[in-house]
Amino acid sequence: MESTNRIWILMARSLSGEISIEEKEELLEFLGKNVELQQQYELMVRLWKHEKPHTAADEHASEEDREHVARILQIAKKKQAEFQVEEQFEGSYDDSTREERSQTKARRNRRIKRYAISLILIPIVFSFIYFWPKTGSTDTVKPLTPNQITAQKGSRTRSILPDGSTVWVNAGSSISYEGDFTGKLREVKLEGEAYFDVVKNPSKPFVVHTGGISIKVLGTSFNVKSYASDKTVETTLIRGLVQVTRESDPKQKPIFLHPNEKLTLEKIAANTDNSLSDINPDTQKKPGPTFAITRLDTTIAVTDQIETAWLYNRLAFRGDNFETLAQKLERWYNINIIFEDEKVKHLNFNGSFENETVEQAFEALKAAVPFNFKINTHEVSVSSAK
Amino acid sequence: MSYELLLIQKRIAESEEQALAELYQQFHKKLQLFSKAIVRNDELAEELVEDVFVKLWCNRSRITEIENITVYLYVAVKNKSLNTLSRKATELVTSGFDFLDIDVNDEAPGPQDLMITAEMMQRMHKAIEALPPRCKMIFKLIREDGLKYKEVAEILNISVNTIDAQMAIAVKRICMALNLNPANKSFFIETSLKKS
Repeated sequence: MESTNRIWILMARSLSGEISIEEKEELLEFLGKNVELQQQYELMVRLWKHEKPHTAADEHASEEDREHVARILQIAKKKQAEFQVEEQFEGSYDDSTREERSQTKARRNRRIKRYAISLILIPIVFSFIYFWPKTGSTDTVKPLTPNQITAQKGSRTRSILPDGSTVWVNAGSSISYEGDFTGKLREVKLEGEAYFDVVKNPSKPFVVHTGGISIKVLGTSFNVKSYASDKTVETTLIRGLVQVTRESDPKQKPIFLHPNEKLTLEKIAANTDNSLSDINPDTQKKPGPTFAITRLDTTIAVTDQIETAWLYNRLAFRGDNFETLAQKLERWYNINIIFEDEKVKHLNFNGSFENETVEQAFEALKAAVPFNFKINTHEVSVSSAK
Repeated sequence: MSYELLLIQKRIAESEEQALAELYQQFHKKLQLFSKAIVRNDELAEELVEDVFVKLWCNRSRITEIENITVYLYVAVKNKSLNTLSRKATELVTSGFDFLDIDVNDEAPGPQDLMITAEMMQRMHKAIEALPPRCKMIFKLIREDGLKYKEVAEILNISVNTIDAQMAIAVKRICMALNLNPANKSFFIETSLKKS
């Protein structure tokens, strides 16, 4: 039994080209003893070589195959676009052909670069986490004076930072920073919404800390919205390039933003409130907080962009439900909005306000979607239309 | 390992699109059939194979680290196909291709091989079709795709000994099916008697 099974194993090996010289001899010896078997084997050899489905005729690329390859390359390119931002950061902004050629090299560098970025960012983030809350009470080597720029509800303010950068602070928001940016970084802490026009200084990156993320830039204009009541942190880039890192996990790949792109990061994952003790173990375990990058509609004027309209003294909103809009209105007009029923919260609005009074604004909203409201100095109560 | 493939790998690492086209040309049909055996759907198999090539191109800087690109491609397609059948995946992995219905690519014989009669071809085809699924898959990968025992073992996650045994079964059964001369049957009867 063993010997007959052995024949089939040897035959199979021989047909598959897996046979050794010794085994081949062994097989031939078997076959020599059995003529019928030898005939079988020879037939098998012929059949084996016979119809190989993938022969030379197939090797010629058909038009269809070429299309497939083109599509593969296209999909691959799209997938890599995200990675290539890093290379663009290095300056080869519009040169796509050069970018293509330098890709392999850049790829090699990338790992090193990424490593370097995290090496730089870890100490920054951690020193920040450690020193920020303490500086108010304890003395560090250099006595730094904390500066704060605050815009009360119902007003917006513009200010020049020590490095010459301009910052617009939206209603109910504040930014704070230490000293005169004498350190290696220009660091600013934001609560609420602000627009930054940063003066270029490659040797001294500008970093905004807010809602558990850091936004690092060299010289750009961008808007950051991170109100405590918001569920998300929104970063909108107008020009230049910014790099967004989550402070809870500085080793994680930073997100790069291009002009006219908006990054929406969920706060639950990003929010660590700049203090180690506050890091929720649950959020740390989360592998990647959800984020989305959306492109702004560049066909509309800057003054009409929702994200930047407030700079032009316009309050713009699109598709907001009343609850979200109410928060904006509260800050904008310094009022208190009281919802008298649940249903009214779910009305949706599009539009913008410029010089309207509170009453005019509510009349306009009411004209679009019917509801009832009552203004009592700083309090507005809203209810569903009867 | 084939030197040609290593050369293609090197060219892909240097971002040469033509090299990817050549690799695709060489493998996509086989991979598609392999994937189809798992997912049972032509379009899906085609898509999965494409995905594998997309990933390969995206990670081309590290393609030269792949020791055996043939095995890599088959394993990648296998994993992708199994993942696609996420519901069935565990079932498939544990039972090692033993209940799959595998299509064996047998084309009509060409006029260049008149030595082999249509009847013989048909017999062989029938015999292959009648093989147990795993046996059929192994046979197909070795004969049609021209893979090595070791490669198939790696791809299907089974031992080389199993391949050896399964191939022996396949060859034996096909020989039996091809055995046109009734007198020759004696040998097979003899062996099967010995077996029992």
